[in-house]
Order: sequence, then structure tokens, then C-alpha cells
Amino acid sequence: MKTAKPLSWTRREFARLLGAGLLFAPRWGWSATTPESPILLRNTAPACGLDFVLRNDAAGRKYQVETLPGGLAVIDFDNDGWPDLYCTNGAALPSLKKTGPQFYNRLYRNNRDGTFTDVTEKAGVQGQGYDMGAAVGDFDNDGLEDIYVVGVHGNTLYRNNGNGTFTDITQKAGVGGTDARGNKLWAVAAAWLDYDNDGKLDLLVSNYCDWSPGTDPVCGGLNGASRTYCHPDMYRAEPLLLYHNNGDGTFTEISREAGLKDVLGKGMGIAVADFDGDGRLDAFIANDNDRNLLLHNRGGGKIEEIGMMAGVAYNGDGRQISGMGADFADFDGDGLPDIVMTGLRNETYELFRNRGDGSFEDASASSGLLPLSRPWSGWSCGFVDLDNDGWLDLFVASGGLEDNEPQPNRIFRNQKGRFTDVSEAAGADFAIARLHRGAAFADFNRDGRIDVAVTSLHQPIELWTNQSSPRNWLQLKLTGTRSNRSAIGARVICRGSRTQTRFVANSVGYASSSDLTVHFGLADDRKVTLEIHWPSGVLQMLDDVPSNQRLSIEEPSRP
Amino acid sequence: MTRANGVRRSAWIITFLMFAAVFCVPASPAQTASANFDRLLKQAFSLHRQGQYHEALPVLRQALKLQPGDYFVNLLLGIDLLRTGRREEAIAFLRQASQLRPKEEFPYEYLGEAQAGLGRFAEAAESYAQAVKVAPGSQHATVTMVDFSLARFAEMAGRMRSSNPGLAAAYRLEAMAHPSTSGARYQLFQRAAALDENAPGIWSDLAWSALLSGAADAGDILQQATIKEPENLRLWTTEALLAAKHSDWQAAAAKLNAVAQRSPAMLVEAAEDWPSGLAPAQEAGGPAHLFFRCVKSAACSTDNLRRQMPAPARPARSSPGELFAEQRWELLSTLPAPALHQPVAWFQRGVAFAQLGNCGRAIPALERGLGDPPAAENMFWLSYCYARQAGAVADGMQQSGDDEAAAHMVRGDVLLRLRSDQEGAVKEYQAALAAHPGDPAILERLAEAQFGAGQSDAARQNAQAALRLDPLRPSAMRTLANIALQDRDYAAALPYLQKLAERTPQDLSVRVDLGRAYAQTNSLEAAWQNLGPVLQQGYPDEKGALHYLLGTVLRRLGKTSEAEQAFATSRELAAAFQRRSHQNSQDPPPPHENENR
Repeated sequence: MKTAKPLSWTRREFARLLGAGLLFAPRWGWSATTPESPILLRNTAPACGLDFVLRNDAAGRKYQVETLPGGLAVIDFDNDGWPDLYCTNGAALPSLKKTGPQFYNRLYRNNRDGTFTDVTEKAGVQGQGYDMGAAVGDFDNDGLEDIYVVGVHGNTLYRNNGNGTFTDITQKAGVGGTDARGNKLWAVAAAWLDYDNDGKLDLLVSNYCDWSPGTDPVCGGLNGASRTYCHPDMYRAEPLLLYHNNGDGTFTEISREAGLKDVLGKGMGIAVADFDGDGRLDAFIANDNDRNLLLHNRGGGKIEEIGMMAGVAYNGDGRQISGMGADFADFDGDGLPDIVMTGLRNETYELFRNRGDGSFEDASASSGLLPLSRPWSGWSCGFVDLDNDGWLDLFVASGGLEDNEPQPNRIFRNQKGRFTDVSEAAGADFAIARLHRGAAFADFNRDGRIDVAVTSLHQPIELWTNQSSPRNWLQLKLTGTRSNRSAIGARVICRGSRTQTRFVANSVGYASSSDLTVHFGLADDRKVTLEIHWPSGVLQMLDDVPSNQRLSIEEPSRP
Repeated sequence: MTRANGVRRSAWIITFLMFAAVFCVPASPAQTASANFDRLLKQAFSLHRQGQYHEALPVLRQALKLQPGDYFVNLLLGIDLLRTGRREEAIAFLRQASQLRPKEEFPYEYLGEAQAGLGRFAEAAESYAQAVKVAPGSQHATVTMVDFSLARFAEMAGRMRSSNPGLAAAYRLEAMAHPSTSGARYQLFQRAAALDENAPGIWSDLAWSALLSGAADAGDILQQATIKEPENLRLWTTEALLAAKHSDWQAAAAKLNAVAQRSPAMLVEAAEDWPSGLAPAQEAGGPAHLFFRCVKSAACSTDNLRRQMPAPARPARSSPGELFAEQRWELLSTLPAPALHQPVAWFQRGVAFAQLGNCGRAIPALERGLGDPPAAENMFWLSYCYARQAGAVADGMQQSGDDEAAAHMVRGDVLLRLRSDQEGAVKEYQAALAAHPGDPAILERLAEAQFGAGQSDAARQNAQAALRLDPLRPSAMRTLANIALQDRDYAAALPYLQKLAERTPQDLSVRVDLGRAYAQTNSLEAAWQNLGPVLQQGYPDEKGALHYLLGTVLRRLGKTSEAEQAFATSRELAAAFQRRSHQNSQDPPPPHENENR
């Protein structure tokens, strides 16, 4: 058989010719934006002590792991009511070791004055390996938020000691992230959730693919300029992990027992909500070029993967895309949690509207998100009410895979279930184009407006402080007593001039964990009624709750 | 099969005007008949220029009666019959024109278009090649041939992806574009072998690639290849390489000499990939001596080696089938051409020429050997040769730096179809369009490139403009369908997809999109009728997404058990894809670190 040697075009071009034909690479555009936006953000990170730089140690070899780091976690580790920030980081390649401070994960304490202090080394949470994401939850119900860090071939559980330090209890807890045969997995994201409603947070881990530096294939050309990251299809899928919290500081991996033993995937972001209103928390896992997973919690410790039957396994066009980040929230105000999933440029993000009958329908086109999202490679994302108008907007951290594909973040404003891209009017510095990855949401300065922290490869972290015109708001910090203390899984209905529904969940977007505080934008409402459905089944009602305050609410001991 | 009509039209106009200047002088009474003929011809040409091909035909027939041996009348009749869809009739006139002026390339170009339109691709390839041959400096002829090659390549690519063996062939073709020592090449061959383990030669290719890339399981693969393809010369060179790596020079030389006896060209090709300097200290006997001397030399030239190679040995048995089975490509290529009704012999002849690097002769032979449905292996070789041919010709034109519309067209085609550079293609087509505004062939290409570059609105406008000028432009229809599908406006996509399905019923990708559009517009029976048969025919669905779509259609039709079956198949396919990755990864993948050499 003749080789392609005599051909006059390069091998890479020949490969493109042979392989593609169907590949399209539209240039990104700047259309579909509005000149004036009620959402205004400013990057305050440079002046506030947040000096984290996300490092993937890319040096031209194009290891697959290089594209995926950057998860963030909001944690109130010192329990002062002010959101602190934890940033995961990469490591040296190919060793996968944090060989120096430049690779440390970083914990920043919120100084309550708009500035942050790096307390990483005192806290002892700098990490060891090539980390990807983090999940925050009070797994031992001691009133202190703990951190679970996931990464390549090793995860770490840090228990919060309550004195500004953490202890690595991974080994004792048994949550190191290996599969049943002891193989080390590459985890991208994790979510705390009390799947069996026993009052103790369990742990769901999404794993990506089988990879090791010694076996990573070379894709693209031989010289550095033409080398590319390999397609996910080149790698085998991995099982997800479900750790049951035994209540004694240990966990048991029970994915097989729960009914998930045959479920493989190239798992990315995890989003959790009780999508069918049965009081049990379910989870959606975006998958990269593979079918998405919807884990339906059937109760009795059993979980069924129903993505296909529920209509969320593939996008609305019946195709798999590069699913990255995901969120599970009620974007259209019907009280049911819907799913958004980001994808790469030209794939368009997918919006699955919850029909209320256990299935979802494609709402990408009808919501306007389809054409708006086409030019953008989306990673972390979140439904957040940035303008406090009572409708959940969509924030997306954007950026391509390769260094030459930086993109600015996007804000899609929600107006009664229809989205418009308001990014260009969101602030002078919002147009900065980078390889954005993780994003976490919290009201860091406690001014009643949700802010956003975003990482990007090789670049300093961004803290997008919300400077939108003030409107009414309400924030709730829930504390479970019979339910898990973090109150993850609680459903809160806020009734004012319109009714809003939120689910307490912090696994949001891509590999990231947002603030557990429930935030409602109230527009012009001064008072609202609250209805809290705790995971334990307790129903709590609060009437005539004034707006513009932050409430701490403890779960009542009796229904 | 489309052509740069505008480009050729300009040349034709110039020719005609020259003709008119010579012949259309004031007529004397004795020249009445001739003047009448000239008047008819001018009238016909005027109609032709206005696109009124139907109207031009009776006028041309009158002129033909007056001068049946006139080149222009025959050519124009052929073209206008072609434009009105009467390709078979057109061919007779175009042939006549080509005989009247055998040094003119135009009749051959239109002849190629007519033949391609009738699916006679072998003849079309020969006609296009003849056009280049009679007018080697003709840009039009070159453009036409490139265009034909690219269109056939694209058609092959689409068809190959319509079955698992075809998909395997596509992966194999893609593998060949990677460096011989590359792990990516090895993995693509692996993928091809997994999809079609009976594809001829795949195990030998895989073994050669495994050994060159240093794969740990090269030994196992070689063993497999030895069982499945004992007569494959690539396997023999692999065995020679393995022996050489163990310094068993005698065995290595014996294998290499055996290769040379059958096909010296294959030995020369092996020299291109052979690790530099891997040669014995002492001289070997036979052609292996030349081989080792070449790979030892820093200035090794395979061209020189090829010239030095002795002629292949003549076996006792030399039927075409036997020569093919023993891969005696040189001998096979020298046999007389087979009879037209012997597709297998044509295929074997085509492979022989392709193996010898003569794609110009391989293409017509492979086209004649193409069955219905075409075999994956045949499509594989045709794709390979068309890509090589188009690339080589286009590269020559690119280097010429010519600014004429034709050159812009070719550059645009290359950028669009070979290099996936849609933005570059847009610029080239715009330049071509500036020279020939309103040419539907350029407009539909521009639309396709603009769609690829994300300029959907402009793409829509240009595709619609192309269809206004020529309602049967398939590429314009496809672009409009793709734009609508991209917007998930399935109702808007349907009319285009329906027309495309009528025109190209063998294009399964159109049927899939049609099924998708029907499914989304609640035409469930129609969706089922399209998706079901396509999947039954083996349309690739590696991850199960299409079976899932079919399942949703069946469920909505109330066909619960069939829907469950489709969903189950979808789950199985998805899981199999993931499990296959599992199995692959359980074998130690090849080391890649040494590829930076």
C-alpha cells in the first residue's frame, strides 16, 4: 500500500481532508447583543488579593489533561458568613506532582472588606496532584464546611478542623477515587448530595477517561505547531463513583449496589436537583462526546440511569456533543428544574426543559439560546439572577481548547424564559478573551448581588463583582438538623409578585462548587412568603419576609 | 457533478467571438446558405448566453441540418442538451465535436460532465484527463479535472461513512495521512481493524504500523497478520523489519528479496519508512543489497532505488487473479485491459496502478470495477487516488499564483474540501465571483464555504441566488438544508432534503437528516421510513445516537416494543463503544515519546 508520501499537502491537511469535510469552524461573531444591559460586572480580582494563576504545565506535548483543570469552590471555611474561595490547580507534567508553589491549590479567606488573603499553607490544602475540581459540603454535620478535591489519579478529602486548618482524611475515609479493581481514575467533578436522605451527605464523582502520561497518544502533526489535543473518542470511558457516607468518617463506594455498575461515561460537570418532585435528589452528568447521564434516585438506595428515556442523553437534535458544564434550575419559572449544558463552539449549548412528567424537551431554540451560544465554547456555567429581576440568567465561562482560541465570558440575560446576549454591555473589561474554565457564584461582598469567580488557563483568576443597578433581593442560609446540615436538596419556594423555586445545591457548572446560600432576586417586591421543603420531608413556612436581607434559617425539629 | 460554467463560458465566448469575427462578414448572394447558417448560429448562441437552452435547441438543429460537420454547432448542441438534462443525447454531439477538433479541450470537458452526470465515472475521468492531455496549458481543463476529482472524493467519503466496512476504510485512509511511525496512525489502523477485521491488507498495515511505532503488542498483531494475510507483501516487509531489529540479516534479506521478486515497487516503498541505518554491516545478496545500501545512505533516493531495481520475476501462473493475489503489481499493470463487463479484473488492475502510484490510470480502472453497492475497498482506493490527483494538480495551480477566476475557484475548492479552511475559501470564491458575477457554480460554493465559516446569513443569500439561477444545484440545496438544520428549523430544511433525497437516493446521510427533520416535525411515519431502512443498511451509529432517535420516533408512533428494541440497541452500541475503548486500553498502548525524532 502506498503511503501518502508523494502528496503535496501536509499530512495534517490530508488528515483533515479525509476525516472532516463535515467539520465546520465558524469564526466567532459578536452579534445578538444588546447595546445596554442591566447587568454590569467588573473584574476586581487584580486589586483584592486574589492572585491565583491556573497552571496546567502545558509545554507543547498536548497531554489530554492540560485542557481540563480549573474548578473552583466557594466555601465559608471560617464560618463567618462571608464566602471564601478555593481554587484547584494543575501540577507538573508528566509527573502529576505539585512540584512547587506555582501549582498549589489556593484557599483565599474573605476579609469582609472586598479583599482576600491567601491562607493556603496555613490551612494545609495546597494539594498534591493534578487537580481538576472541588466540592464543598459539611459531610460530618459538625457545622464546618469540608472540601473534596478531585483530580487526575487521586482525590482528596479535607476535613475542616474549625481552626483555620484542614486535615487530609482521604485514606481513612476511603474516598481516594479508585474503581472497584483499584485502578486510579481521572475525576473531573464531584457533588455532595444525600441520596438516601439519611441526613448525611454522600458523594458522587464523575470520572472522565482512562489516561496516563506515558500512554497518551500524539495527535495532529509531529512538530509542535501542528500538534493538537486528541479527541475524547481516543480514550475509554470510566465508571462514576458513588460514596455512601457511613456516618463515622468513612465512606463506602456503592455504585454497583445502587445499580450503576454498568454505567460508563466521560463525565464532566455534575448538577443536582429533584427533577421529578419525589423528594429524592437526582443528578445530571454532562458527558464529553458521549451520552449524558441522568441519575434518577428511585429510593431504597437504588439509582437508575435514565438519560435516554428522559430525553437528555443527546441534544435536541439527537446528537452527542462535548458536554462540559451543567446546571439544574428552574429557568422558566414553572417550578420545575431544567437543565442547561454547555458545549464547544458550533455545538451550541443545550437547554432541556422539564416537562413535569419525568421527561425533558429541547428548549434551546425556543429560548433563543441556540444561535446565541453557537460561537462560544462553554465550560463552567450557572443559572444565576445577576440583575435581581427574578429570572435566572445564564453565565458561561468561555474559551476554546487550544491557546489560540481564547474567548470572553458570556452572560445571557433571561427575560421571561427568553435569553439575550448582554455580554458586550456588561462592562468595559468583560470582553477579555481567555481560556476560561471554572466558575463559581456567590455574593462575595454581601451587597445582595451575585458575583462570579472565573479561572482561565495560564491567567490570573477573575472576580466579576456585580455592579448592576440594585433591586430587591433575599438570601437564605439554610441549616439542616434532621436533614444534612448543608441543606443540600432542600427546595425553597418564594412567593411574591411571581413565584420562584430554587434548590439548595452547590455543584454547579464545570468542576466547581458555588455558595450554598439561596439567592432570590425580587425585582420590586418588598415582602415575600417562603416555603421550604427540607430533604427530611419537613415543610417550613415563613410569611411576610422582608426583602434585602440575609436570613439564617434552621430546619425545625418537627414538621 | 458541478462545473465552473462561468469560467468555461468566458473561454467559449472568446472563441465564439473570434469565430464570429472571421465568419460573420457581409454575405454575398452566393453565400446565402452560409449566411443563413451564421444567423442561426448567432441566434442560438444569443439564446445560450441568456440561459435559454431549450429555446436554443431547435435553432441549433436547423443550423446542424445546414452544416452537420460544424464544430461549433455540435459543441453548442451538446452543451445545451446537457444543460437541459438530456445528457445521453449531448454525448453524441460532444463526441462529434471532439472528433472535429481533437486538439480542443472544451468538448472533452463537457463530455466528462455529461458522462459523470450519467454515472459513467470511468469515462468521465478519461474525458477530463483527455482534456488536460490535449491542452496541457489549459487552466480550464485543469480546473475541470480538479473539480471532478474533488466531487468524486467527497461522494466517496460520504458513501464510505454509510457502512461499518466503509467507515473502516475511511479510518484507514485517515491513518495513511499520518507519519508511518505515529501512534495516531497505529490507533486509526486499530480502529479500522476493529470495524472491519476482514478488510484486505488491514492486518498487514496494522502490523507494519505497530512495529514502526514501537507498539508493545506488535508481535501479537504480526502473528494475526501472518494467519490472515500470509501473501501480503507489507506483511513480508514487516517480518523483514522484525528480523532486522533482531539482527537476523539473512532472514531480513530473504524476505526483502521475496518482496522484490513480486513487486520491486513495494520494496522501494518499504525503504521510505525503514528505520534509517538499520542495515547489516556485510552486504546482502539480491535486491536487498540495493535496499540496504539505500537505507544506510544519508542521501538515499527512492527514485534512484526504483531505477536500480531489477524487473519482477515472472511466475508460472499468471492469470490476473493470481497476479493480484500475489501482489505482483508491475506484471498485473502490464496486462491488456480487461473487457468492460469484468469489474473484478478492472478493480484488480486499478489497485495495481494505485499501488504503483499511477492514479491517473488507476482511477478509470477502479471506477469500472466499482460495483453496486460499491465495495469499501474499492472506494478506499478511489478516494486515495482522487485525493492524490486533486492535490497534485491543485498544488501546481496554487504555485502558479494565477489570479484568474479559474485559479480562484481551484484554490477555493482546495481550501474548502481538502484543507477545511472555510474562511480562505470564502475569499477565493469571492474573487472568482467578482470576475463572474451570477455564476451559480461559484455562488453555491461560496455559500457552502460561508456556512462553514459561520456566515449563515450570507450563505443563505448566496445559496438562494444560486438556486434562482439553477434550481437543481445540489450543493446549494444542501447548504440551505444545513443552515435550517443548524437552526433546528426542521420544517425549513424539509423541502431541500426531500429534493436531495429524490436526486441522490443513495446518499444515506441525506436520508438520515430527512428522518431527523421528519421526526422533529411530527411526521413520524416518514421519519421511521427514512431512519429505519438506513440503519438496517448498516449506516454507522457507533455511539447509538441514531437508534435513540429512531426509538423516540417509534415510541411516539405507539410501537412500544420496536421502540424498546431501538433503545436497547442504542444502549448496546453506546456501551460497546465504551467497552471497545476498554479493551483497547487494556493492551499497552504504543510509546510515543520517541516521535519527536
